[in-house]
Amino acid sequence: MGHATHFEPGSNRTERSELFVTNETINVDRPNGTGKRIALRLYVAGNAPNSVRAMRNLKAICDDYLPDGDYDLEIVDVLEEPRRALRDGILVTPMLVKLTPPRAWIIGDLSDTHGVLQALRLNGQQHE
Amino acid sequence: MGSNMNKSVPPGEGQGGAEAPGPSAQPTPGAHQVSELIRQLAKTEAALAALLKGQVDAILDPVSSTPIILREAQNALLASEGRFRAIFCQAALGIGLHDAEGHIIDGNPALQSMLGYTAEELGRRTLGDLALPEDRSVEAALFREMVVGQRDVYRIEQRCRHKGGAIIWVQLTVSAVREGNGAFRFAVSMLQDITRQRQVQEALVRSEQLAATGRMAAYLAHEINNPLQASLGCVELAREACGEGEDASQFLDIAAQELRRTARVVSRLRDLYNQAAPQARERVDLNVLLEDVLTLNLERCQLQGVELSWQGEPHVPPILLDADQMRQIFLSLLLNALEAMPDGGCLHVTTARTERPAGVRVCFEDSGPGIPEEVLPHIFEPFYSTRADGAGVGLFLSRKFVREHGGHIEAQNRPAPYHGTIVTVWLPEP
Repeated sequence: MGHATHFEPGSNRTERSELFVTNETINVDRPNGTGKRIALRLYVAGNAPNSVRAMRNLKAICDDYLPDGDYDLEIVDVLEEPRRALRDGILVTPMLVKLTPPRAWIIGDLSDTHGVLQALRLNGQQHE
Repeated sequence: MGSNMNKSVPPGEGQGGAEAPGPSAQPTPGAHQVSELIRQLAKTEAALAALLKGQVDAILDPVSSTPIILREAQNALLASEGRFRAIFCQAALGIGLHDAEGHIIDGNPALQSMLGYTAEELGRRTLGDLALPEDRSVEAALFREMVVGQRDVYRIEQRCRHKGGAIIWVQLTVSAVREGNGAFRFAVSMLQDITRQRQVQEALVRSEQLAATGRMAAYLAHEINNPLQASLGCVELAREACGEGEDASQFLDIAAQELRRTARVVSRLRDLYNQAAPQARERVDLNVLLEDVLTLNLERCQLQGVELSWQGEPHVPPILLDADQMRQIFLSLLLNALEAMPDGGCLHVTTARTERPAGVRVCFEDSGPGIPEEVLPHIFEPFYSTRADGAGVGLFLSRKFVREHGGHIEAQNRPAPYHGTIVTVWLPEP
């Protein structure tokens, strides 16, 4: 398992910014509805600002859109495991990888919730 | 971004990612490589976009397998920039940054104050624009040489015109900042206002000329007065001879000989003190120049009971120098030695060729009391003199002139049991 990195409770959404995601994995025409658990892996660089923001934002997204806990999330700190990150093809951090097909790589602090939902194919699944 | 990429990635395989191709997809090896390449490019493109937006914390370096923490790099950069800004803004020296045409891209407050122009006004000017017209060509040529890579730095003294019209002297040091491949990037100039120093320096030169003239006054009186008295005596004798109807030609010949001697003395002194303007440097045989100075003072040495010995190494290489300045240096050293031996002694003057570095060494070795050890470190300082009537600028100016010729001058006491001083001047071979 990856290195455990803490989430701070009461996470605040950071200011909205662009989402950077590799294109070939986005398919907004096929919303996630398979009922399978989603495996996510977030690569961060210790407590660097963008990494902390990415962790907060991802936690908030998971709480809002996957309230039943139908996901597995692993946090990998590249400062602790740089070789593993390189083996996984990680170029920069923070980078979120959706491991379950269809795969997606999302680069940035995940503040663009809509874009992240599209990439993770969680459109229309918000549970209030 | 990329809907066309979706089309290029085979179904199944494209959704599964590079390291987990879908089980049903069997692309041809060529297509697989292309889609893999496209994925990598897309990922790289996304990473670059995030980087530009400031959403990246670290970059993984595949060579060293270590993450590069951008915040630390940025902080280091910011700290470096902060240090530079502090130096730039608070420096007492005028600092300017210049493009390849010499325009002042940025000028610090000290530069603005020194020249009287605002940063914006400076931005429309080059260093050449600020220099006096007669000084421009030298600076411009050096700057061009630096831009094309023939030199990395140059240092000159030049006159600039303050916005208010006053002329200021600056010591200007300009250095090039280059790209990794050596191409000119920009130049940094540092200007120090040396107007006051130049004024003091010019006053010192005038003072030294006056002092040297004063020290020579007694010698002049002796050298000129004696033959004049002899000539007058001979003229009187000739008058008497003529009155008595005798041949006066013998007395007139002696009078003429003495007057010619006086003329020679005046002529040589005129040469020695002809310093109205700095002379062009020329190749000079130091042996000949030294012999001139020594010959002129030979009689004075004899009168003072100083035995003068001269030993010039044959065939010393000619040295490129300002002969007038060099005569003044050697005369100053000689007079210093004589003043150190009021009751007589020995003065030994030599020249010798040096190999490493190539040049000529001139030594003045006297048998006076020597220089007290506590005084020795200060003798080249301006206004430092142990004599009541000394101006304290002779050795200071001697060192200045020697250094301007690329040489050096030093003084030391003769080793025990001897006493006396050895002053050595070394000048480089051109």
